Amino acid sequence: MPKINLLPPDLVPKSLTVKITKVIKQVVIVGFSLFICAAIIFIALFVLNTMKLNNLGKNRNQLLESIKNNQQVEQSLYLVRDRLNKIKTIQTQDSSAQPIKAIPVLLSQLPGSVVINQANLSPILSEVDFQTSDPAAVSQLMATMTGSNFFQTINLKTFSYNEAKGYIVGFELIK
Amino acid sequence: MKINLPPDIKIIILPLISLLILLLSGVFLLKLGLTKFSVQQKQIGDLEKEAKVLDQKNIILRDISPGIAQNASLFSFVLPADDPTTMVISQLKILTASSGVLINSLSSRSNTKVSTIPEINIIVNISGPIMGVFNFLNELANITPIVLVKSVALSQAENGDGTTADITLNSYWSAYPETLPATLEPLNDLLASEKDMISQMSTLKLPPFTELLPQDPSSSRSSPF
Repeated sequence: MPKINLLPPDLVPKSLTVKITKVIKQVVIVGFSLFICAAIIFIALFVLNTMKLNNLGKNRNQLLESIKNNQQVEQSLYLVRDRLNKIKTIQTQDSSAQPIKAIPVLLSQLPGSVVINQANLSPILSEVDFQTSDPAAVSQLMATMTGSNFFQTINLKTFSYNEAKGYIVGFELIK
Repeated sequence: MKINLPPDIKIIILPLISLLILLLSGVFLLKLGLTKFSVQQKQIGDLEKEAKVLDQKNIILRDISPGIAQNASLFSFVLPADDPTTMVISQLKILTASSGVLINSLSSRSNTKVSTIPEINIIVNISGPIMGVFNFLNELANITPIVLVKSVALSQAENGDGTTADITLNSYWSAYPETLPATLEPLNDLLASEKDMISQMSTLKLPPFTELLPQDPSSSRSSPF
């Protein structure tokens, strides 16, 4: 038997409206499903991250505790490093060791008759007066001084002779 | 009062409202979820970074432990926290004895120049055999507190026997650091050059100290009164 609609046409919605309504209903159902899925995913992520944060926090506290227990060691290390840096700063000023180390070496290469009459040793410029009564020692002194590589420049400053002291040979030594 | 809506509106209004509520809820959920997620990710990143620094620090402190306290004690002699004059003078006297030279005069004064590493000037006049004088000068590099020779004036002794030397030395001191760096600041292990320097410094001669033990109360003299 055919369906007969007895309602007046004004009270019946248009077929397009019915179709749109159906589509909207389907969209709402799908959207709601997605919403529930997204909510579950966000909640799961939140729980996982919270657990991870708690674990990291515990780990951090354990590490802090361990570092606190080693504070004495840290203090010592910090003090040693502080002293080392300051000693390095001091040692950069030091260039005095060169003439002090060089002169005894030079002296040991010279004949026993050569002695130091006087000397002024300082980091950059040093002056040394050697004294000897032996003329052969003078030439050996010259050879030793010119052959040494302790100083960048060696100037012969004085050369004199007197009967009482013998030969006095003065050098200016520049680092 | 009943509103009489047209049938088209009547049929579509409820699904539309549902859709609108769903959209608003979706936006709210997305915004809230993403904000919370990014905040947590940032916190995790920060904590992981901190943990890495702390872990490294912990490993360094654990591995470096043996001997560092001893080194700290050594360095408190190499570069003391207070004026080192008395310790230097004591060391100079020991050195003169071992080098076979004599101290004729000795004076010291503080350098008034304001610095994080204040210095003390010490002027010492010694006499003895030339090699003894040079031995003394060379040995100055092996004592604590650290001293630097600034100038040396050598001359033959008036009696012609031996050499006289006027030596100007500088010794240094520096106050200890008062605060440790923040706990979360990274800590670096000692460099190879620093370890070399420590081993060099450990060969330096420390000033001798005599430990004064407390007197035994039972052996104290009885009151004469």
